[in-house]
Amino acid sequence: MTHPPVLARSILGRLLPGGTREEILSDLDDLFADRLERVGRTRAWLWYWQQIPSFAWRLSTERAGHSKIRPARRLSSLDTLRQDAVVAARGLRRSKALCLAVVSTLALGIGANAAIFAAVYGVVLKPVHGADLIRVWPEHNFTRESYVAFRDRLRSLEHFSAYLPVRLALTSDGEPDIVPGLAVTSNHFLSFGTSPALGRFFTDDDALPGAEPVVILSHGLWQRRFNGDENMLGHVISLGGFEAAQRKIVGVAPAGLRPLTLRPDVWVPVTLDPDDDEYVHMANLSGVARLGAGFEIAQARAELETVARAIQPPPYYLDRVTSYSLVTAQEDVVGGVKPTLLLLFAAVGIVLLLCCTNVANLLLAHGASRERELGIRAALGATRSRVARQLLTEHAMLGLLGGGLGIVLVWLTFPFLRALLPANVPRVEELAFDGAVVPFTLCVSMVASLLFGLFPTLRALASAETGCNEHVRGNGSSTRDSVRWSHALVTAEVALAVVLLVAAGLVSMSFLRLSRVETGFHPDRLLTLNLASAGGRFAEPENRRTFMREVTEQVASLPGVRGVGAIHLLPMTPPNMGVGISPDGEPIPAGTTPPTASYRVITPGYLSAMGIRLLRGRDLDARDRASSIPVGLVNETLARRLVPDANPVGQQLHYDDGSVWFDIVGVVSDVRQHRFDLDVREEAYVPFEQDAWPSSMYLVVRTPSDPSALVDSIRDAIRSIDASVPVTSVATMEGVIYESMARPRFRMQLFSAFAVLGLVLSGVGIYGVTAYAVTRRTHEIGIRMALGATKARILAGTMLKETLPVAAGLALGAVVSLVAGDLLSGFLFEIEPGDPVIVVCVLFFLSAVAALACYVPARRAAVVDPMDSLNTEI
Amino acid sequence: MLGKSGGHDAKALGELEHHILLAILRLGGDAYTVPIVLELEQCTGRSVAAAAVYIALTRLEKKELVESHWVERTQTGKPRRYFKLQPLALERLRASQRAFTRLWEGLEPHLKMSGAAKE
Repeated sequence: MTHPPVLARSILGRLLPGGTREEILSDLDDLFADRLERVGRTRAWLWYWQQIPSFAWRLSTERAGHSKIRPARRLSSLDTLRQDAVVAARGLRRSKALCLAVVSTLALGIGANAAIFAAVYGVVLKPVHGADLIRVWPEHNFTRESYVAFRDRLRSLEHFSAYLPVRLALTSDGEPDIVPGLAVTSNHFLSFGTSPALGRFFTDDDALPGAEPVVILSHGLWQRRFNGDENMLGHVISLGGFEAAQRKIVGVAPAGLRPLTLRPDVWVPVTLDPDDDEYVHMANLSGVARLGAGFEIAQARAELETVARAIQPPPYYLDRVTSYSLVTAQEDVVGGVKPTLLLLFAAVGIVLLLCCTNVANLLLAHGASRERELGIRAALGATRSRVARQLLTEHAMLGLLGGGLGIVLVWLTFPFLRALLPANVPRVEELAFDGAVVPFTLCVSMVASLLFGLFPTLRALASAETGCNEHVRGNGSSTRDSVRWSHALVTAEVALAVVLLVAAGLVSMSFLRLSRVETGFHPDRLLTLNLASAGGRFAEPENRRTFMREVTEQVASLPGVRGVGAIHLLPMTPPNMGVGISPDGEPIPAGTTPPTASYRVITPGYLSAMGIRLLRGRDLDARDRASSIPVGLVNETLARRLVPDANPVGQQLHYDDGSVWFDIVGVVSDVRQHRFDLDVREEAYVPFEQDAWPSSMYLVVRTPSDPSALVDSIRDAIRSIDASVPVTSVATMEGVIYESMARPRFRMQLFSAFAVLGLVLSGVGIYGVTAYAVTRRTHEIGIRMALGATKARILAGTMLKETLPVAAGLALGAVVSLVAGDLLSGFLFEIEPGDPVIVVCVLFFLSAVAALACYVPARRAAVVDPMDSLNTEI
Repeated sequence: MLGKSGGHDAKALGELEHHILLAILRLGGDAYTVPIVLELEQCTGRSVAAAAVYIALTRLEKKELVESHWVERTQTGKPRRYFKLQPLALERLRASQRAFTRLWEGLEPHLKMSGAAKE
């Protein structure tokens, strides 16, 4: 960082008078640069932040000194504040142990909040690149034909372009590799208002049928693969997998262009050819646009529906679209993860409340020892507001110290904390310890000071009013008041701990049930890898078929391979492909939305390699060639839909608009193709030999032992067939499933950590309050024992007294958990928010912990020597 | 930078104001804020609050001890405000030097005996 912190500079800009603002900021930039060189980044950064209070203080003092009317009250408030700060600092130095306990507790709570806020800010709140863009997609997506029909008729959306994420095989100028790309219409880059770093963007001519295939590189790929060579313009590269195999580089995108936070390495134009079948029948395009001036999203949606009805005859599938989705880019990117992060924010807020409760109890206990001091101050004329101000200053100082330590801890551990986030959380790679965390932490510190300082301040004001003559010796009304306040705080603390523990229990049980869901296949000892047979000779489907046959045969012959097959979309990964089906075999009427089935292209051997059971009929095999009758398999769920109580083998499945069909030759068991928490869908499997359009396939290899041991030999086998084919995404199936569970696992882990923290905090809090209450009652206990009370009776009496607030807290917490449980329902799987087993287990567990926390100090009370306690002067 | 002056003693110089005038003199009699701050830090051996320097320069200008003028910078195009010592400032510094010299006369042995003097 060679520039001063942006946030600090912005705050200073607001502080400084307008006439000298630019001058002072410019000079401070130079002084910052000097310090950066002399003392390093951290101290220079701190020095710059210090200029804010420095300028604020001196400018306000100077203005006050120059004012013709010198408000004596304002000057004395500043003096008073300074006095209070000095007194508070002295007091904290005298009570180092208390200060340490309070600051470290607050650092934990405030630091945890700061860490979660950093994640929430970086992922959800910070505007994405092109945040005001709108993503547009109808149910089932646009075809090229329907996109063109809309493009020229919309007024509410500007620069309406279409795009399709693609994965392309880059096989020239280096190692073969798969690169993520976007196929876009020619007006795509107009939405971003940027210029190319080199060359040009697409023109309408690039989208014409027969136009020379072109490509635009991302800035990153241009640097990585082509060394930033400007002579690459006009160079032809081998880039297969979408329309053409060879493409000429015509431009380089500007650095940092990330549309909708996608990170394409290449952009290729979508050809708009009305004579192409895909133009009419392939609905795979999403739209992106800007809202026209003066238009709202609802108006744009209404216009889409109006225009759709007006287009006659309706393009393929458009008459079946019943809704249009329009979301801002921000919502599109972060909407899915926002609820999880906000939930974690709520959980960490509860942890902060627990910390504040513990701190309040510590201060209440400490306050008892200050009654004499406060009584004297009141006797010497200090008003209630003066005493309150001093106490608030002390609490603010503690809050700021705790917040400061918390933020330092987060800053130091930030890289480690970021690594804990699941990799599939959007924008996780951009997360940084942002400047916004500092003012947030400052606010939280101030709020925490008010929260934890409230009860102790009220208690202290009450004791100050009783005066120093009524300074009690540990058995008077002020002690009873302190203990009552503490008990109230214990009730609140236990209730919060119950809520946190119940939530953690529900989320953990949910994760456990999710991880035990039957996948429908055997994921152990299964290796997966992606092969891209795109471009060059693979433009010809027969070459793709031959390649897959050779690969599966070659890999199957390797020692240690028990089974091999391929599928075009791996289970438990996000991409999906579906087709509309006609269960009755009739053409699907216009204007109706047909049911859909997931559509998968597989090779023979896939089912056995995956361990998927064949329930009826036969598997796909070598008989099913391009020239033979179209065949396919259906899963149990689709079979039940087609013929509920009969065998569908031998019948036909009609799909697309009802005109395409295959003979059902077998029924397989249901497989979790998608996330564990989604219901099993209807699925159809067709042989690659008969539908060889996928330019990339996932090979699945069953091994008797560690799958990773075979990776090199499999790569060599593929390379021996065709060295230009990129082999990527090598992973075990167990690893793929593990990644698919990343978010629920993350929720479970974090909630568990918060729950453990909450348990420790509440246990420590209960112990502290009980110990304090016992200490204050030592004299009374001595009297009771001298009058004949047994140790057992003392113990029972103390336990009963101290566990009553705990019981109240347990009851309150249980009620709140049941009432507020619905907030969690979106995150739970096969468990109700008010699951009684979880609630009862938590109550029992917390009761045990609380009982132990009460027992230890209570037992100490029971073994007190009556003579010692009677002699005790408190 | 700030409001109209009111109530400043035109003759008395604060310690910081004194140091600033000396720093400007060391920098050739005409300097802008950044080198003044750096010169002060180098000579005093401690950090100097930039805000205090700005405010002190404004006061010095009101006391007519320095005069500010804008100089264009060729590299960035942004002008800088320079402060030039006025004859009155030089008179004050000479008077101050004479006063300090007279006050310091004969005191070195006392400082050496107490061990307080550091080179």
